Amino acid sequence: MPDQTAMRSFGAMGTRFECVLAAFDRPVHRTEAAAMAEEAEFLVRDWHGRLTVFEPASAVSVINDLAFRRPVSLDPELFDLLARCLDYTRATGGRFDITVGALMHAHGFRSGKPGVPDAAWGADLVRLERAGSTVRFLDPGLRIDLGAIAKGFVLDLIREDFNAMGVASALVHGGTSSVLAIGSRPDGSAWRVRAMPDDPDAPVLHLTNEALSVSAPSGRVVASQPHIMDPAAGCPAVDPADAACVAGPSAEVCEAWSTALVIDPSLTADLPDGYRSLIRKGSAWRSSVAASVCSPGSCPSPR
Amino acid sequence: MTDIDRRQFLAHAAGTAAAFAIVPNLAARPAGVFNASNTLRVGVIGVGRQGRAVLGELGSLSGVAVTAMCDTDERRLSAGLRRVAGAQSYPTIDAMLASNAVDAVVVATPTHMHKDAALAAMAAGKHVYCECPLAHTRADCAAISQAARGANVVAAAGFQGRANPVYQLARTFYRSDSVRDMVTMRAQNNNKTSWVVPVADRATHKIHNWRLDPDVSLGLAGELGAQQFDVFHWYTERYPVRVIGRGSLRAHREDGREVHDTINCMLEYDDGAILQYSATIGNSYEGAHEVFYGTNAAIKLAWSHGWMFKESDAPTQGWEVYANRQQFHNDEGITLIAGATQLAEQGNLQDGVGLPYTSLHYALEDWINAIGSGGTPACTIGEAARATAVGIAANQAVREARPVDVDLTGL
Repeated sequence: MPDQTAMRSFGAMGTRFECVLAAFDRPVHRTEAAAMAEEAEFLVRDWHGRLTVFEPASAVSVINDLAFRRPVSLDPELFDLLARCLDYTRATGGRFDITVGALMHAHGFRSGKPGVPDAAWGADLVRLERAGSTVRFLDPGLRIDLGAIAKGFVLDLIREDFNAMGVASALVHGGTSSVLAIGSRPDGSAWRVRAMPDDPDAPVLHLTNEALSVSAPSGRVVASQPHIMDPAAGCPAVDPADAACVAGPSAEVCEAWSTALVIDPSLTADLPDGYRSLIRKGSAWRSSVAASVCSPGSCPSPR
Repeated sequence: MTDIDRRQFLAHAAGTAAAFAIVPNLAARPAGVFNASNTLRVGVIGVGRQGRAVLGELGSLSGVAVTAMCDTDERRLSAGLRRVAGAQSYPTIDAMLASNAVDAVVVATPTHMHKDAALAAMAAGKHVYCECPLAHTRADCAAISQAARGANVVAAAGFQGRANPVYQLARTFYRSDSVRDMVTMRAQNNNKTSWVVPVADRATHKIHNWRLDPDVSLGLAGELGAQQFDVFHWYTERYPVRVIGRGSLRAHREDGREVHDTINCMLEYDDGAILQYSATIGNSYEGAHEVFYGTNAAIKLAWSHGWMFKESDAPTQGWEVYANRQQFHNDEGITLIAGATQLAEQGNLQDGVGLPYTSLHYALEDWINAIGSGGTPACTIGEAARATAVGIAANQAVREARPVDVDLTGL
């Protein structure tokens, strides 16, 4: 490892983030490399504070409290993020949907115990007005929850930051399920990331200037139910895949689609251009490309 | 006040204050990120890391709209504009002040640039919130303080403890003799960080890394310590008379910096009391906190949280029976919860542990409310000038490794 390598890990967004900055487009002192990693931490913490539903002062909490009563003005970054989320909902046939917030509460995923399912959900209950940069809810029971996309969103921002600062090679992940590879490894080979680190049989993906998102219902379980909410059905997914991985240029897009694919693997055919998937059902991994181990060089096509 | 419906603003401010009086930790739900028709138009000067934090907090306060910002760095300015809907950017402070787009400004520039920005804003009749520390020299502190005395505006500074509900609550205990005779005081600020701002353009490195420039930086003692020293000034209503300090490079010996990354100070009071202060950017253990040690109890403050540790021979007060407690190795701390009585009656005492908002949020809200009510902010420029002067003396003591007298004459 060259002397200028920097590493940093920190807790945020309910998980642990780790950064490795391995190479730069110019000579960089180790302290400056460390400072770049600190910038990534600052960025993640900043957005955690804005997007979390667990803190009453967050922007999302404020939206959830007020948006039914009156239009809530949003800054351009947040407005654009919500707009893209609604696009993802349309593209995934409702399998990815940030309006599951109240559903998550109703089914006990947020409070820790199942509640009364008086929740409203559905992207059609969200009105975004670009002219005034406002959001409004059409039902008092609606709540948004960006937990399924927040990590991908901030990873894309980190890439912007790192690119501007001249980071040529880096790997960043949040909880191992959201991964951003900048450039390749210093030796020129692709970053190699096992789809599920705790599964030795899981395929290893080769990432160069790509992101990876892994969704699986094996994490949190409430009342014996998996934690993947199916917004189209209004309840936890009944027969989800065991894991869905999506790799491609944008971490945010990967996040949205991995969430959708774990609920409905048949959506693989609808993946945007430039993205590829791996689905595990039972013990078998099925790839959207021919090989079970994907790499840019070995993938014949993105689908 | 201009452009503000004073009655509405007063009503808002009074409502906020009343809510705080009941349950400080649950109140002041930000009315939002929404625009009201009558708003205080705020401009932010400097949108680096702290400036962006200010933008975020202002966005969560009702009756406030960030309408303008300026910064010499295009990338930062662009990031700031993405954080606020409808704000205009200006190339200079003068251009922003001349635009008539703001009623008030937040000065979040590097410390050594505070004076020019604050003086220009006050001369233009704008309310001012200046980040902590107030300035990098005693002369600049005096100039800002003098200007504030002569200006018909609400001028506040970001010494955040004074507006923090937990610190306000703890101060009532301190002032009401719960601690009894003060024995000693201690504070620390540990945060493992580089103190480096990474920049793509090497030519701007020194500008962005002013905290590592010994010509303008107040070092850890001034940049971090002044904020904490002020808590002791506020509680004890006294200032130290002399500072002894030492500093060294312990974690960042190899990058050529001169500003110490680890310091220790002893602030002496005229009656022999001592405030021990340590700060390092080489280790994060126990973060930032302040402790008052008294013959009856100790009070520990950690910005979002506070605790009281009672001595075994201290008289029992009724409220402790219902108090929330937290174990620290062999010591049991009584959690200081704002609005604890009401929360306890509702069976929600645990909900009050920790503050929902940042100290910066409360400080900015206090300033906004002072503008609305025409009142005095929690931290005036005069108090900020004196606290900064202590920080400047502490930094000098550390740099020169000799005792330095604290001179508050004229501040």
